[in-house]
Amino acid sequence: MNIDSSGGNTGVLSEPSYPDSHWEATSSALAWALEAIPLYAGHARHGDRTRIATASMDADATKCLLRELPILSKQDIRLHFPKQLLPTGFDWRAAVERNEAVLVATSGTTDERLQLLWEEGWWERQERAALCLHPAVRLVLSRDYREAVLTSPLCSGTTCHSGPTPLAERTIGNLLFLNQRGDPTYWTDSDVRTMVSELNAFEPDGLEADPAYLAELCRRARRLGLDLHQPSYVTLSYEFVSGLHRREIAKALSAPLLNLYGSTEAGVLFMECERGLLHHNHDYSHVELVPSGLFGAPTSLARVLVTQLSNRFTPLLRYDIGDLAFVEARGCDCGAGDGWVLRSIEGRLKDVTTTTRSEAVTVGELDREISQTRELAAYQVIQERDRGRWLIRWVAGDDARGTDEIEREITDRMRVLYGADAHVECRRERFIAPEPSGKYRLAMRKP
Amino acid sequence: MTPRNDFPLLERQVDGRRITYLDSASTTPKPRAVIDAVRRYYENHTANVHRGAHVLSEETTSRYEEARFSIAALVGAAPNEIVFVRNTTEAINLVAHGLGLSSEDEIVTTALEHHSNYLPWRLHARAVPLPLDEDGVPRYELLRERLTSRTKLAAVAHVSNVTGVVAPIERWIEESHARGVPVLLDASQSVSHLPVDVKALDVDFFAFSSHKMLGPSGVGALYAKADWLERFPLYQVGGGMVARHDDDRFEPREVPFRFEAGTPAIEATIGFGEAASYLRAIGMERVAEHSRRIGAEMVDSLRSIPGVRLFGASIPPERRIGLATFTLDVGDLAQRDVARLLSDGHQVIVSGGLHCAHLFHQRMTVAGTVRASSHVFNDSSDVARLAAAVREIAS
Ligand SMILES: Cc1ncc(COP(=O)(O)O)c(C=O)c1O
Ligand SMILES: [Zn+2]
Repeated sequence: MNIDSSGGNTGVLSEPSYPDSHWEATSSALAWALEAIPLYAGHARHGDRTRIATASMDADATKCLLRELPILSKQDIRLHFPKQLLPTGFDWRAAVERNEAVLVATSGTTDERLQLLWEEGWWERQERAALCLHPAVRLVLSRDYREAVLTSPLCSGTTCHSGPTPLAERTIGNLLFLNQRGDPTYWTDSDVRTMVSELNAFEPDGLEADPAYLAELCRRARRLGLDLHQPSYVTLSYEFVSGLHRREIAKALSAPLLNLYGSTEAGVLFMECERGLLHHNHDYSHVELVPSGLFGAPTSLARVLVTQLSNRFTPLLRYDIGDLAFVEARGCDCGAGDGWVLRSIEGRLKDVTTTTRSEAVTVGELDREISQTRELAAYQVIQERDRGRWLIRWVAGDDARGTDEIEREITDRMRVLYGADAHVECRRERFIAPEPSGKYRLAMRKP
Repeated sequence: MTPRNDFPLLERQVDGRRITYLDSASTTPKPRAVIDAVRRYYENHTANVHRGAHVLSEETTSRYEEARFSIAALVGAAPNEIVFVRNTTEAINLVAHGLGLSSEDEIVTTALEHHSNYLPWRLHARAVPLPLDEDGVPRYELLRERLTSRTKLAAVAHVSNVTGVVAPIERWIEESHARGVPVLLDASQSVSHLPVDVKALDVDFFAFSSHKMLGPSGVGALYAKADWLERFPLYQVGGGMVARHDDDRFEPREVPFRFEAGTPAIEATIGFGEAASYLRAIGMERVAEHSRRIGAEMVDSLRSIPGVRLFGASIPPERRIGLATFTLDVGDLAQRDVARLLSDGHQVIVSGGLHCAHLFHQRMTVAGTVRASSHVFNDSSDVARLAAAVREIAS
């Protein structure tokens, strides 16, 4: 990250309260990992071990110890998996054979690829716990329920499908995996019809979706005059949720659209509540929110460091997920429980762009401004620093106004964000390509 | 607009003198951006596509597929309507194969076509060529009366590689569609000289080569409406185009990938995408305006030279690109020899001969022609050098 962080706001965020059980779980997860995982054993000082061994780890001591540990990056995981990240002497291949563990791989740009081991059921348990933070969803989950999943078929949480797969193979227990294509660009009308009719026949209570994919399905279904089955809830996961996605999905689905935030490697971390805030799923992770230090950013803009509490195979300590979030300092009294409350997920740190005065602009800040443009279906901002230019590529959804008028509005909004004197260029596109991971990138800087 | 400095080839000297490149209708020089994209592939990414497990393969697949978006954007298509092929010739052959033609079927075309847009129709069906007028321009207005119940396709060059004349394709498409006949445009010479929107045109098939639009050789594209591609039978089969293969059956991948068997021209395709971006960055309206202007200058300056006979020059400059084809009456010299004199004595690089259009030369009763063709990097000084050299040979 070569964004200038000098002069940034590096105050401290005041920590919310957690139940004692959370601190106990955190300190015992730490104690175990520092002992059992070679990579961390190297980090722990002798004094730490005695402190942990004598069980004198209260909340403050745990926080202290955590802060002394180095931050774990994606690169660290790539370099140290499997041997240094698995418990000493653990035969992971045998565990995979016995179906106690699954090897998962994320795809993504070069700096995001990872492989990890999941304990069987680990994901499902924490996802369920996260979903239950929302009362309406909890009610659905208390009965027999069905859920449909729409995301890139490369990897849908626990299952990977790619290429045409019969419905029976895509229906696993109470789950239906809808998508059979790598990229919505290649969905044909008949693919859309198939997905809609499978969805409607399955009548799921819940729909878990990549927001970009679901927005596209809604748009295409609308054009084909197809109605979608109405689930009780929709969770949006896998990639940044744009205002454009929400707007398009809301035209087709009346259920609440809930951001379910996590990642393959870190687990299911936050769940959106009835008030639109995100609550920490704290039985499964401890989270440190550290001010980003980005130039021009308030203290409440934080990086997310994750310490896992129930990962027996590849426990991550102080793992920097690479995203930014705004902390809601006032918390939320909706009843979803203790712990950190986030106002919003702000996108990836590496996708932060900067204004003419070098102040950071997060993907979230960009999106809240740009997505107000009524006609947009998609966009991508490329800050070309060598040319001193902000290029915005955009795709029209509903063609209410002419290109010039839309571009005037976009340019004005870009100048609100990047500076009145910013050199903005608009380029209308019919399509914007996703990343190798199948996700869409809303902002980037070059070089 | 003369981004000369973007094209390293233009620095080439022969016998101590810098070349004047006027043969872009054969193949174009490549801008630095394209060369760099290809070089970067070799230096940083070299890998096969189709998402292998390793990091280089994922990067390469990503670059390769981005090229499809870039090409699609240039012509206003959706990426799933862009099939990568080797060149225009293969694109047209793919359509000839896909339409399931028989020897009684008729394909209406013109006597001006490049062999690539003629021989496939002879091979798979019966070619019905529209005649040419004395200036070498097809009698496009005869289309309607040549369309019959046996016509399966109307196939025409969007811009002629022989005359540089832009065909009246809007009318051609309208009249064909009115008779339920699909249209193929051979866009080899048009796609990098004119703004194109295949959706607005409502054309069914649109074929072009990378190497004639500032990209590398070895790759081209077929745009086809998605429903045509969905209906086409499989073309070549093998790796890369199959989604599932069991003992008793195999299932092809989705359109367009099912038409792309085997390892493609990866680096060329990445360069192809870069070339499309390069052209879009200049702006195709500007490119077109420049091309028309150079075309008009070439025709004007050659017209006054004694012994020069131009073809297609009866057509106003708005309907031509930067291309001029002529014969020079110099006794027993063949037109090929004229091109050779231009090259060896004057470092002016042009084509001489039949330009893969034998029917045209037979109809015009000429044994060959000389063709000068420009692109974005040419300017008036190139036209002046060409005219001076031709004048000197003529004298
Ligand atoms: C009008 C036209 N059609 C087709 C072709 C064939 O192109 P390629 O050799 O790239 O297949 C050419 C190339 O000269 C051409 O000018
Ligand atoms: Zn709440």
